[in-house]
Amino acid sequence: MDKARDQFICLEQNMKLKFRRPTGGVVGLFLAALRDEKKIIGSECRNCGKVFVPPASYCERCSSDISALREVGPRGIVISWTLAPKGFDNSPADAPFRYIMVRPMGADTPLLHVSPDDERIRIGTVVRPVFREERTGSITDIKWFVPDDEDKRA
Amino acid sequence: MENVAVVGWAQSDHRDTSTLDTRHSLVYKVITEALASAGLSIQDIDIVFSTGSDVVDGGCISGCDMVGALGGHFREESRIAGDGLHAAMLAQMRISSGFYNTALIVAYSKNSENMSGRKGRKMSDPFFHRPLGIDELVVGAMQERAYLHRYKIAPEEVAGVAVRNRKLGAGNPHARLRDPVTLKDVLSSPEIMSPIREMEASPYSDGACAVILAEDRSAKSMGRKLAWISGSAGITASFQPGSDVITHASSAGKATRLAFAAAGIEDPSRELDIIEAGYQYAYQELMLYEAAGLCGPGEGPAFLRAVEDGSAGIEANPSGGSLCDDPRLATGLIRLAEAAAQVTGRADERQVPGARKALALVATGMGIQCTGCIVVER
Repeated sequence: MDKARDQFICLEQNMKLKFRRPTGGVVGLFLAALRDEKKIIGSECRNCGKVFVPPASYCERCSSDISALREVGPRGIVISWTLAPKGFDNSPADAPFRYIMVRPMGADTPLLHVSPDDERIRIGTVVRPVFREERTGSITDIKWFVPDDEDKRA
Repeated sequence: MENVAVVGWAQSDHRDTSTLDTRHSLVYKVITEALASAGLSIQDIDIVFSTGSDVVDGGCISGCDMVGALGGHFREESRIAGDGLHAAMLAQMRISSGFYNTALIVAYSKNSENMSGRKGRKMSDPFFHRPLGIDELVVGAMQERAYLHRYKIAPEEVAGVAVRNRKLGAGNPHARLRDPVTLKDVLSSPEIMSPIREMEASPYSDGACAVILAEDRSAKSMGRKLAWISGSAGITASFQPGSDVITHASSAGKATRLAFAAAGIEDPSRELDIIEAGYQYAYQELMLYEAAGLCGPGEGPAFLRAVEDGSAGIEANPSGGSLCDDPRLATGLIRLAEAAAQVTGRADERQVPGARKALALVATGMGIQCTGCIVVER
């Protein structure tokens, strides 16, 4: 195969793309609340009352306006998890770590985030966020979620 | 409304790195073969639809530099962002309108050119998911764990999906992976993101597929068995994984219900002869059976065993499906080509005797949140 490949000219190219994305008054407020107040913000639909996290300026189910941005969590329930065996460029944690789907208390939808590779992280475990000391207004201002010490099941 | 038939198709031999030609040449070759299979020339085509992945190609508006290769020069032409099966639904609508007689649909992928690793990370939500490296593999792994937990399904049942498809793929000359594997092989292949193992994930491949649709009169004048489109639908659930119930393939559920209603199918498990399903991870085949109403929630593994021993009266993925090759965005269109081949008795060594009615389905994205499906019948 390599020999066949060598018969043809292959062009090596490398693309770098750089973005600067405004986050607006809803996603931006969610990120600012992580950075400034260590709080998780969701959006409540004016029509169906569902509370979405991460928040949006609209309801994805009934296309209505939202009536309020409100704090959810910070504790949440693990809906599912997986193990990331290997790290990568800008990996959110040192491998091995876990990805988790966590529904903050008071929200109807889950966030995706990471946790330590801790045996206590299972479906149904109650977890709480650990915030970084230095926060920049990013989803990674939450370092990860850990089993909630106050919860008997954890 | 005009009736629409699938009148021609062709696919490449899907490989990992063996397509040494440009993607332009790859699609030109399958178009030429598809036209020949329908007994048509490019002059007979009224509109061309194409799809390719911007992320795989490394450029935006994929296919815009391929108009000539696509046969789109000064011909009406549209490109869609999604699997070619969704493009086929648009083509079907154009022809149903009565204003177009024929349409050519082309989908391609040359994954081997793009050496950027996990490409899905460049497609996920930029605000909440990309900073964490989340892609369809991460979400798929969490969906599989939640699904297995909810219905107490053993990992062996999921591995069995890979074993079965690889056995069938061995008989498909277009398939990339043509060597059968054992349950032990699958269960000892590395966990790429637990509980998903390497052999339970579709292999990104190079490949292309072209399908030709025609309205009633043109199709009938061809004087051969035809695959009529009797129903189709495309549904997308939330892009935020887990916003909809994660243990059920909700988009596939609604899409198949709509397509079956259009096709007058009341009991799909009795009325369908074939299901050709494209997806990325083995557990999804089980969830798709459930969503399509072929069995109840959590009964995917039992249904698969009934398919295996013949008692289900339906054949699943006679081509070996997407676990044997996955030229992303052509994968679903290949399912349509395979389904059409089956109901017209032109599926060569993988022909299922007496097949009259088939469902072609493709489920993609974060936790299979997007589904397109088409019912074809003789």
